[in-house]
Amino acid sequence: MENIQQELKLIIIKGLRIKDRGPESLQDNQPLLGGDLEIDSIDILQLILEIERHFGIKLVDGEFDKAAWESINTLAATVEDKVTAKV
Amino acid sequence: MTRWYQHRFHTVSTLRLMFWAVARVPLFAQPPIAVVTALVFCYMLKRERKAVSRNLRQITGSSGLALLWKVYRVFYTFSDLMVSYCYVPQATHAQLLSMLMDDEYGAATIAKYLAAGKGLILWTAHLGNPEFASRILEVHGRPVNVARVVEDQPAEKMLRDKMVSERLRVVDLRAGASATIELLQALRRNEIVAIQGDRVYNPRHSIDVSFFSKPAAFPLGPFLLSQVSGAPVMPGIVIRQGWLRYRMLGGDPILPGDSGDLEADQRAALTQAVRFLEAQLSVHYDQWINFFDFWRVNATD
Repeated sequence: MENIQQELKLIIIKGLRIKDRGPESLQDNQPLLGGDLEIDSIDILQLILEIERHFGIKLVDGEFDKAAWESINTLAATVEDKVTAKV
Repeated sequence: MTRWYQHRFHTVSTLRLMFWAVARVPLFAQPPIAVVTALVFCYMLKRERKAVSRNLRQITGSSGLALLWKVYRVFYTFSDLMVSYCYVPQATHAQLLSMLMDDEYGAATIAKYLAAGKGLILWTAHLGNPEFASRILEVHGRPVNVARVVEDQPAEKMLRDKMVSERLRVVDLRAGASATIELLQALRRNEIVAIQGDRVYNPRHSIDVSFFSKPAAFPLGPFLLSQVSGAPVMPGIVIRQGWLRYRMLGGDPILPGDSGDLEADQRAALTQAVRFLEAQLSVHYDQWINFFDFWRVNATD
């Protein structure tokens, strides 16, 4: 889980082209939607693309699960579930 | 002025009056009436007329009376579009097909890409009759999801409500993340998504592309959606060929490359789509229904 969180932080920094801060500045409970990262509807697509390619999973395969996008922690848990289900 | 429907006659009562009148006028009598109403609106809507003039001057290089005539024809096309709201929303598929001047409208290409199971993104524009374009796609037996911003404007909602059906959904982009996820889900169900490519709703995700020799911003969203879903982007428009008679023109479907640079791939794909639009506008400039100064509004600086 911790590894996934670190990887997600890297993906967020790279995917959102954040230049003025590094992955270490992101907290595990960092809010994703409505937080200071200001992730909008297109950013979400960008992150889905990067996460799905990186982990080889389908992150979105049902209704929009807003709770999964609450924080890096919740997103990591969702990714972990999908990765486990894939194996 | 950034939206075509912000002119002062875009009200529920005006629309109701128009729908009431159109229902009582036989089809053959509508074009001559439209000749007059287009002239009246072209005269009355001074701000919109000026904006259309600037757009068409950029596209055609015309000036003087030649330009004014072209501007008038945009208003005439707009009359056809508004009257089509009385026919297109409730038309059966057979009736829609009978309104097409040409049996070949890219149906085989669309069917081929839908057979791949990854959905299809129609990249269209406010050119000709985009509402007809959305409905004709239903013929392929897959739900059509029209992505657009639905403003809090009663007349705009009225037109939206006329168009929606079991097979045609409007996904309001103001819903944010849930709207984009809904579009992604639709493509993953092998459905069709129609997006207006010449409207920038989120300037942060648009880039400047040379458009008739002048930079203009276009959204990258459709191409990002294509990268995530694997659905090809098909540039396509429905142009008017006579009163309530149309022809669909489709470009080659575009799949963003896989160079490893996602943004460069999106940019290349967008440029290809914009070149398609440019080619169509060179011929059908009088059907580009943008009553605002396109290059000024679609500037990223």
